[in-house]
Amino acid sequence: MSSIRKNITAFLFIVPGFAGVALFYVIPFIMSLSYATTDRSGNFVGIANFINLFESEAFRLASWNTFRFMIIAIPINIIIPLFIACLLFNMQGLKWLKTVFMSPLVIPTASIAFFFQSLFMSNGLLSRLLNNNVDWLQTDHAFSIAVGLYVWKNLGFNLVLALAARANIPKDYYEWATVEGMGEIRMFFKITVIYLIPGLFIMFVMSFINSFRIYRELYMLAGNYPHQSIYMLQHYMNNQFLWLNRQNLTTSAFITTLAISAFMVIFFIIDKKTEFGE
Amino acid sequence: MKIFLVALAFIYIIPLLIIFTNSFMSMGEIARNYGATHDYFDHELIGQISWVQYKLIPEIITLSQYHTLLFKTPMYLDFFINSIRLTLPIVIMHIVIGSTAAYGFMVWQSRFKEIIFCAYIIVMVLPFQATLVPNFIMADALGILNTHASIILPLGFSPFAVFIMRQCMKGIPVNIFEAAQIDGANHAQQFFHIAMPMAKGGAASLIILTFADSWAMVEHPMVFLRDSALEPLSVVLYRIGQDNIGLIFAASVFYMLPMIWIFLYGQEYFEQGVKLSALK
Repeated sequence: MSSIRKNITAFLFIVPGFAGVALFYVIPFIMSLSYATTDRSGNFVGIANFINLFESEAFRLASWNTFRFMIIAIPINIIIPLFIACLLFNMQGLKWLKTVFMSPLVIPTASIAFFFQSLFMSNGLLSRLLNNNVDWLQTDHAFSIAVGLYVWKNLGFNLVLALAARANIPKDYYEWATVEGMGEIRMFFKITVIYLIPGLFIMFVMSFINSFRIYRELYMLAGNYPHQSIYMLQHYMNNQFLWLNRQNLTTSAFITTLAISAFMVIFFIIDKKTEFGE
Repeated sequence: MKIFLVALAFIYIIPLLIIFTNSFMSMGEIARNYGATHDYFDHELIGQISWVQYKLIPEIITLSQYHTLLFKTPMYLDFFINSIRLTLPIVIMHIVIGSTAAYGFMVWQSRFKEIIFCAYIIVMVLPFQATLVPNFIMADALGILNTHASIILPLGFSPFAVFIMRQCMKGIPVNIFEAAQIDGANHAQQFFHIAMPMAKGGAASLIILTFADSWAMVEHPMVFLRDSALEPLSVVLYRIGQDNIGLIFAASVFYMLPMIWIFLYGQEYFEQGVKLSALK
């Protein structure tokens, strides 16, 4: 009896947050779906909006760019910090460097955009060095610039996480391995890499969230219509919003949500199966 | 390797250094050094390219940018206050909701628990543009469009806080709670006397992350606020960068002060919290 009552009290701790998420995200999301299945005058059109969307070149380009950005930028943003963390961990007196790597987090987005503009504009630093007067943000290199910007900005937080994960590996493991006659390189792969895996979960989730946030910088760098290699889903949806096209906006939001949900559920199941997260 | 890392760190620190030193530059000098960035068609008129010049040390050190910012254009102070008005309630909501819900997720026994948490993670990772219409519908229904509440409420209820706090509380050994229960502690006592003190680092890193994120908000104010007097500094900085470049450095310093303060003040706790969340 008392244990059931205790369980109900435990549930009460979740209620305020749960009510808020339901009220501001879940319920209005379900309400918004009526736009996805109707036309502008409110007539039911079935899946016509979805077909239109998949036929739209802008939407396909935006989805592909977003996907490409994530599969390239997120792994880089995990591997580089892990690598730097392993280097930094063994260097006495240099750990304060991690604070330096966190510094982009405090710089305002507008100033970041300003710096990147002055680096890559046709009269910017890069063009000056190469003496060719190219507006790099209007070439295919814009994509690499976007990846670089993302990694530059978000590396610091993952580095702190990676350092923490590295510090959690007991020293004994390395001592035993040395006694066993294991080489440095084998130790790195057999101990360091394996024991860094639990920290990967949160690093991945943070990188994933921040990969959508790159839109802030891209928007300030290049406005609503950047070079086609960095035209993301966020640009597409924002433009639909500006054009008051609720049909396209909710339909693309629904598809995005569905894709992310599918991915996250799979990720969650793998995470539980491998006890990655426990 | 050491040299490589130090060089890399140097690249990281340059923008900050430039912002600080150039905030003491006269506006005329800034226009000369960087002004060309924004009207890049100029060189076609003059016939020669005016390259962007980075300068660490100003020709003349002056406080004119700060003077203009604080005394000649007092609305920047209002924008600063807007930023605080938006950020503080979000941070407070995150701490309260995040810590209680994380505790609830830890002690509540139910098979729906993981399903709800998975839904939370999905809502958390969605880009703003995907939740824009739902947030808009609800703000419209509550009649809070064009007020700060239309931004604070959806962001304050964001499951991010629950995720971070739960991640940190996972590190607390279960047998501490079992022992407390045998001694007759109820949930409120366990929450305030065990869970919260042990997750202090997590709360600190949540404060820093939420603060940094809300202070830098760009998309929400642009969508939900039509009245430009309500806008936070983060959005206003964008406009300064576009039409009043001479002020950008001092305005950036002004913008960064609270963030730097919070970072330096909370760094130790922050690292503790990060350590908890990376452990599990």
